[in-house]
Formats: sequence, C-alpha cells, structure tokens
Amino acid sequence: MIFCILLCTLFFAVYSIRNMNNNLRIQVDTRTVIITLKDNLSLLLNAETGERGYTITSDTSYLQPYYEALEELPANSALLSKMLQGNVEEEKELDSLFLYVNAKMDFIKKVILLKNDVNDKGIKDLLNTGQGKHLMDKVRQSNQRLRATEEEHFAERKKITDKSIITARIVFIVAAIFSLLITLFLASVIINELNRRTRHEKALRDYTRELQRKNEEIEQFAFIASHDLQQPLRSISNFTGLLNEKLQDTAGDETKQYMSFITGGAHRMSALINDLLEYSRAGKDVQRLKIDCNQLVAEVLEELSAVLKETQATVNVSVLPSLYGYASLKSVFRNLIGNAVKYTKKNEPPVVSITFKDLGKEYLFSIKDNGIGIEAKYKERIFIIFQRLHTRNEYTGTGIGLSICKKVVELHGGKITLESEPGKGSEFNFTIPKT
Amino acid sequence: MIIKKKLSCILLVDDDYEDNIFHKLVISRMQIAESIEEVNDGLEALDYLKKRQTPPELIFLDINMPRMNGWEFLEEYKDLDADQKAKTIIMMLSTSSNPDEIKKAQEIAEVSGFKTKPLSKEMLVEILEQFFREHL
Repeated sequence: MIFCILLCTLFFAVYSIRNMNNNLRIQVDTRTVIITLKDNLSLLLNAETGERGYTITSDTSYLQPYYEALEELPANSALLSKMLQGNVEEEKELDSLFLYVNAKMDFIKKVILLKNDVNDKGIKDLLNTGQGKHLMDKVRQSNQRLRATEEEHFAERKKITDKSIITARIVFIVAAIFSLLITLFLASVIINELNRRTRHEKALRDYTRELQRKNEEIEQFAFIASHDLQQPLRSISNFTGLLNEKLQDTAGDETKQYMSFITGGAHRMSALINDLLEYSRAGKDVQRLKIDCNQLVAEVLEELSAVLKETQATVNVSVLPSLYGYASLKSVFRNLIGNAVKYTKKNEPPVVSITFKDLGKEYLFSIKDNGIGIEAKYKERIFIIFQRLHTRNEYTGTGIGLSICKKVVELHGGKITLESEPGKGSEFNFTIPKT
Repeated sequence: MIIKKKLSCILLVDDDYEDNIFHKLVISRMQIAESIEEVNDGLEALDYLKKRQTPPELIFLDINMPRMNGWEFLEEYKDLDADQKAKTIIMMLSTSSNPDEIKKAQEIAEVSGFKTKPLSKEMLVEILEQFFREHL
C-alpha cells in the first residue's frame, strides 16, 4: 500500500513538471508574438521616417529602412500569421493590421515615386490628405490591440505558470518528505524485527543450553539409579536366598512365607529399576537410520521364540515397509507382540497379525490380537508408566511396556492408539511419519 | 557338579564386599576350582597377576571399582607378558546390562564374555561348557 502511495506521488510530480514546462513554453510563445508585433511596427515606422528624410533631403540613403521593411515585412507577417493561427479573433485583427500595413507601404511608395519625379507639388497634395498619418494611426491601433490581447494572454499564462511552479515545488517537497518518512519507518520496523529476532535467538540458545544440562542431569540420575541402587538390592536377594537354604529344614511355614515375600520384593524392585532405566534410555539414539521393518520384526520373533512356542502362538506378518527411524522402534514391536501373546484368553492360543497401511505422509502399523481385550475407560491409562490393569499374580510385568511404546512412537513424531473390546481382543495402531 | 579336573584358580576382581562373599560361596559350592582369590580393584589385580607364577584360568572382572576400574585394567592388561595372560578367560561381570557397555566389551579381544550379577550356578555351567570343555 505504501508502495502505491509512493508511485502515485511520483506520477503526480512528473505530471506537474510537464504542466509547468508546457505553461512556460506557451509563455515564451506569447512573448515572441509581442516581439514580432513590435518588430512589425518598428519596421514600418523606420520606413516612414526614411520616407520623410528622403522627402526633405532628396538623399536616397534615407530610403534604406524602407527597402529593409519591404524585404522583411513579408516574413514577419508570415510569422505572425503562423503564431496566431487558430485564434479567430486575433486572426481577424491581424488581417486588418496587414491591410493597413500594406496600405501604408503603398502610400510611402507613392510619395517616393513622386519625389523621384521631382513632383514637389504632388507630394505636398498627397501629404495634405493626411492619409499617411491616418493609415499609420490605424496600424498603430491594430498593433496595439493585438499586443494588448497577447499581454493579457501572457499575464494569464504567467499566473498559471507561477501556480504550476509552486505546485511542482510543493509536490516535490511533499514527495521527498514522504519518502524520507517511509524510509525511516521501514528502517525502524526492520531494526525492531532484527532486535526481536536477536532476543528470541538468545532466549532459544539459553533454553537449549538449559535443556541439555537438564538432560545430562537426568541421564546421570538414571545411571545412578540403575547402578548404585542395584547393589543393595542384590545383597538382600542373595543373602535371603542363602538364609532360605539355611532355614529350609528348621523354619516354619510362616517364616518361609516371610522370606519369600522379602526375596520377591527385592526381585520386583530390581525389575522396576531396570525397567525405569530402559524407559529413560528408550529412544535415546541420536540418528535416524534406514530400518527394514520386516527384519526388525523377524528379530523380535526370534528373541521371543521361547514364549511363542510355549503359548503355541501364531503370528501372521504381512510385508512391511522400510523407513527412516530410530533403532528403538524394535522395542515397540517387541512390547506389542509380547503383550499380544501374554494377555491371552484361557485355552485359546494367541493369534497375532501385524499389518501396515501407507497413508501418504505416514505409515500406520497395526498389531491385532485375539486376547482378553481392554475396557474403553482404560484406553489412556495403560500407556502411563507402571500402570497395570491386573495384579502380579494374574499376569507378570511391571507395566512399563506400553509407556515405552508411547515414548518411542512419539519420539518418531507419531501417535499410538488402541481399539479394543473386552473379550474380543485388541488392536494397537501406531503411526510413523515419513521423513 | 561333576568335574574331571578342577580349574587351578579363579580370580574375582570386585570392590564390593558382599558380592565377593556371595560369588565365592556360589563357586566353592560347585567345587570347580582349587582356589578362589579376590582383589578389590584394577591396580591390585595387576599386582596380583605380575606376582603370580601361573595366571588364574578364569577372571571375573567388575567394571566400577575405585582407583582403576574394569576398562582401565583391561588397557594395562594388554601390555602384560604373554605367559602372564595365556589361557585366561576374562568375564566381565556388571551390575547393569547397559547395551553400550556390552558393545564396548565385545570390542575388546581379551574379554570373552559379559554377564550380569549375581553370578549363578547356571552361568558357571555355561562358562565351563563354553571355555573349559576339557575339564568336564
């Protein structure tokens, strides 16, 4: 929009200058007419003076101006006609002027001829008619009228020209001021924006640094948790085990039960710590690599072969794509397939199918089972770390599998969802965006 | 455990008091070694190896120890004389099963394997079957 205003101002400035130039030219033209008219009159006057001089002195050198006039009046008249062309009123007056000018020249010629013939009486008679003076007066009047008209025009034009000069000046000054203001405005906008960006960049840098620091802190903590907490746990496990052996024969049932609770507790804590560590480490890989999902799943099935055999599970895998992702994608498949063969219906061997759909911008993987299913109200909760829907005695596990799946899938920029009906099995769907 | 010929010596390199007691107990119960020795860190282990006439046939090496840890010990171990190292199986024995550490261990020629504590009867049987067939 600012650009349009600037453009308009420019056009206006150019226009007013052209206008001013036009007006100046017309002014000049008017001036020229006036000068030519003056020339016309002075030529004639000089001719008359020459005629008088000759008449008095009989010296032909006085006739010089007359001959000059004879020579130059035609051109002068032609010029006047040309310049006043198109101006009806003035053309009429001009015709009248030429009439009288020609008549006067004829009169002078007559006087000269009479003088040539030494006809002094004839000259006296001619001059006494007063025709010479009369004609001259007429010429003067006509000339004067024409000049007056031109002076009027000139005055008018001058007014207009002066106005247009002032206008042009004003327009230029305004345009210049405007341009300056706009430049200052734009400059300040740019500077502000740059400042804003610099501030944002700095904030971003600071934030990133802080984030990195926090990450390091967390990793350190995770390591300590895994390592240093394990040792005391190990002592508890190991030596209650030995204690168990020692008390095997002598301890009562209650004692034995208490022992088993202690050992069980230590084992569970160890499993929790390991799982926590696995969760914190999940997806930590820095680079995306090319992953052949078929190979990935094949490896997982190989690792789970004992469990699959035990549960007599059937796993149907369709041909899966290759994609760019993190190595931790393997744990997603491992946990989902593992769950599928774990949470089975009694007396019904698990049947698991692994498929995918290409949705253009992302891949949608589905792992479907015929297990016990999950109630709708728990759909969100199961993805929370350590949240379980069963007791330890019903199904093993710490409740970390699905939270790892969620973490890794979201690390890839995808989403994981669940379709399920209790008693009818579950279908876990997750997307992995293509990069 | 029926074993034809016992190993002459098993060395435990670990700074943890209770782990050593437990591991010694497990190994001695199986009666697979003539002697079971323990040192508390990498430095002591090097000293021990330099002083001994015949090297121990099996070393269980912990990773986190004061003064010189497992990795640092292995650096120095490489420079020992051949007869001080020959026929010695080194098993890394760690608290956690960190994949990075497992990978690192696999890259060291002198290390034969990586196990997680605590040492168990099953683990020992596995090791014997893999590395000490002739003793069985």
